[in-house]
Order: sequence, then C-alpha cells, then structure tokens
Amino acid sequence: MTVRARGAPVLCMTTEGVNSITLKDVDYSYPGSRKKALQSVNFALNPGDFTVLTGVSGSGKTTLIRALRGEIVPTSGDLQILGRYVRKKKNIKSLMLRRRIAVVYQDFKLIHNKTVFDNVAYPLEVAGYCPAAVRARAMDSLHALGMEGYADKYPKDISGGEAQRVAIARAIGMKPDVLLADEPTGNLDVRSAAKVFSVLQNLSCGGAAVLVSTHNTIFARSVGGRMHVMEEGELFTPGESLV
Amino acid sequence: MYRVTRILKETFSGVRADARACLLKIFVLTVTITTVTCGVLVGLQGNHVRDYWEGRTDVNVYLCTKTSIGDRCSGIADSAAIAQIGDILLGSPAVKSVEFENREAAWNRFTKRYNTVNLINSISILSIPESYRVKVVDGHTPQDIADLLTNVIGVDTVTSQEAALKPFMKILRSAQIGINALAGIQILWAVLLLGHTTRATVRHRRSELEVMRLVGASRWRVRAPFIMEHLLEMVIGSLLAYGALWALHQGLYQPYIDADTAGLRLVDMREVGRSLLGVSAISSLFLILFSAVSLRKITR
Repeated sequence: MTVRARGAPVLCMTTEGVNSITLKDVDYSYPGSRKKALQSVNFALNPGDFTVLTGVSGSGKTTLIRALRGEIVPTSGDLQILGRYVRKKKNIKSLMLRRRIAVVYQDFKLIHNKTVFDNVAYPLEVAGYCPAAVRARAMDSLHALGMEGYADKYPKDISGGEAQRVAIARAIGMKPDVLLADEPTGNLDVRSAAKVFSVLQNLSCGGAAVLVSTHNTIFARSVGGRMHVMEEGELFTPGESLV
Repeated sequence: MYRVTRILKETFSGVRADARACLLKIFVLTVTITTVTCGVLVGLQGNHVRDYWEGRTDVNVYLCTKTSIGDRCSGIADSAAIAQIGDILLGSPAVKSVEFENREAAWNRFTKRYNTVNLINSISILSIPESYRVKVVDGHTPQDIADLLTNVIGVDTVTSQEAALKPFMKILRSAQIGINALAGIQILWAVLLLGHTTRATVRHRRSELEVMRLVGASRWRVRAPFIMEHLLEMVIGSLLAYGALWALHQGLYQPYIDADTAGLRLVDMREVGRSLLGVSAISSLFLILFSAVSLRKITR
C-alpha cells in the first residue's frame, strides 16, 4: 500500500516478518582493532522500508551495511537476516542471501570483461532465469536508469556516474527482498541522483526493503524516508519521520 | 543449453583475456603429455619384447652342417643322430618342450629376414643348420641342456637365448629408466609451472570472480568456466602431443613395421592413442585440482 504525504516523496507501508533484517544491541570490532565500528546498534529493516543512513565518512555506515548483508558476524548482540540468526561465519555464506540481498557498492564492482548488459544480466542468469526473462529484466532495469543505450559498452568505456547507474540497474534487476546501497549517488549529478532515488523508492513500494547510505545529509533529507544517523559506530534515529 | 552457452562464452572470454598464460599452459601440457606418454610406450614396448621372448625358445641346439668344425661334427647330422638328440632332450626332466626346425624352414626364415640378394647368393642351404628349440623347465638353466649334450654326436652348438638377449634387455631397461626419470622431472616441472600459472590467472581475475560470487553465482558456476578452459587447453595439448607422437612413431618405428620383425610386436598407433588418452585424463584431473585449490579462497 502506498502512503503519500502532501508534497512528500512516495513511501510505502512496511511489514515485519521473515523478510526483515534486525540488529539487537550489536557490537562489532574489526579484527586487531579495539575500537568498536558498531556500538549497541538496534535497527530493523522491514519489507517496504525506505531508509536513509547518513553520517560522516568513517562513522560506520559501510560496516553497518556489511552487517546487514551478513558479511560480518557481530562481536556481541543478535543479528537476524531474513529469518536466520547470524552467529557463525558459515551461516553467512549462503547463496540464498546473496541472491535475495542486493548491494550497490561505492566502487560499483562491475565485471570488466563483460558488457553493461551482461553485467546486469549475470545475477539473473546465475539465479536460473530463462534467456527471455533475463533479457527482458536486464533491459527493463537499464531502461529504468536511462542506460539502455549503453548495453553493449564495456565498463571501461563509461563514466563513473554511468557505472554507478549500471550497478544500481544490476541490483534492481535481481528484484531483491533487500537492497543496500552504499553511497549510490556519490558519482551522480543532482538530476541523475533524483532519478536513482525514484527508482529505489519504486522498488521499496514493490515490497523490498531499501537502505541507502549517503554522507550528504542535505540530500538525504530531501529524498524522504526514515533517516538514521551514524556517528562513531552508534546509530541515532531522529525522533520523527522526515515525511 | 543457455547456461552451457554462457559458460562457454565466459570460457572463451577468459582465454582471450589471458591468451599468453593459456598458450604457456598448452605448451607445457603438450611437452608433458608427449614425454610421459613416451615413458608409458617404452614400458609397453619392453613388455612386448619380454612377452615375445618368453613365448619362444630358451635354448637353441644347432645341429652339424657340412661346414661345421666342432668335435662332435663329421658332416651333416644324419637322421639317426637327429632322432637320438631328440630322444635325449625329450627324456630330460630339465626340458619343458622341444620343437624341431628342419633345414627348409630355417632357410625360409633366414631368407625372409635377410632378404639381401648378395648375402643369400653367398650362402648355401646346406650351410644352414637344423635345430632343436628347447624350452627349459623353471628351476633349470640353459647350461643344464648344454651339459646334457656335451658328448652327443651331431650337436654343433648350444646357445642360450637368455645370454643373447641380456645386453638388449639391459639397454631396454636403461631406456625405460631414463625416459621414466625424464618423465618424472617433466611431471614435477609441469606441476609447478601449471600450478603457478593457474594461481596467477586466478589472481589476475580475482576481483571479477569475487563480484560473481557477490551477485549470487554458486561455487560451481564460478569454477565452471575455469574447468572448461582447462579442458580446452588439455584437448589442444593432447592433439599436439598426438601429432608429435605420430611423427616420432613414423620416424622411429615405421621402417621396422614395414620390415619383418620375426613376430616381435611393436607399439602401434592404437596403443599410442590409448596411452595418450590415459595420460591426458590424469593430467586433466591434476589441472582441475589446481584450479579448485586456487579458487578455494574466492569461492568460500
């Protein structure tokens, strides 16, 4: 269900359930470091959520995204991803998690010897979709990001902003339950960034949980959604919704 | 089918991206497969030679001819002498079996093997000895047969095949040891080089492979193009090795195959093919193992 406040961006109803990610009193320190990268973090990301995570560089945003993706095991506290508690490293190697949780990385992580189309199509193809579905979904995703004209180009032939959009197209093409985007607009101009946010919001309206991390606080406020602020590994939630 | 096509596409893309490493691996595989298969073939030929002689005479008892000058000879051995020698041999517990070769059969064999006109013209059929071919019972030696016939009239010479073959078998054994040692060194070299090259290829494509895993590719899906690439290199390496072995076979063996080898079986191209297939299959397993070990960290 869609809820629209007057003059505000589109937001969607959220539901808690097995498709949620929850953190309860989670602490995390990187191996060999005494400093806590995450400190007593309590957080939930539910289907339909559109959450913006902001904070200065080094505040722990990327670490939190890694925790949400199950790339790290908390030093203490409970981390539950899509109905599974993550307590051991082996729990987080699951193929299922990688197919249901899409991540847009700061450095795009495109495959350099594949074309833009192949990059977007690859996750669909390895997930077992038929060729027609792969083609249709990959082209739809590229179209949504205005990248359909770049399908045959290689990542080395496109700009950083374009690569960023391809990475987002790849993530939304997977139709994930959860999408985590680490600085997805860092390389984009204002207009392209707005388009990217609109695409991500549409995805959350379709039932996916979306978390966007950005260090640009002003921009974060303008896109709407629940906002959380990271500072020195601690997560603060402003008392009111931004809508 | 679609998946196979995609995997093949990735395989060829990988080959294109790292063509030099691919060529190096093909070269190493060709040399290794050729050398190791040569080792196997020399071993096979040794077995054929042993089988050949084991199925034949241990001792030849040559009877007197008109040109014999031995103490027991006064012209060609007559039928009574031949019969007596036969009886002595058959009556001995040291003898397993006896076969008589008459002059005509011996002449035919001689002319067939040494078919040079000059040589045949210079030798008369009467100078070709008739002979008994004797197989000795296990535990007895050719010398026992020689002792048995010491004072028997009509016997010119008693020769042991074992003694005649000893130098040849020694050479064959040395060749086997030499080529197996060479093959061993070659295998060690290939293992080190292929292992290193495979690791380097994986390192070179590490980020690409990690992204594949991140976006949901299974372990098998990441490994499959590597395995296909190795199989492709193996097929090309094996074909080149087959060509090299065929050329070697043509150059070294064909003249003897065309000539009479008196029933001695020489290694043929079917055996070359079979040995090569075996060596290639084992090499494929090694290559797959290398890539599995190299990809282990990434596909964890």
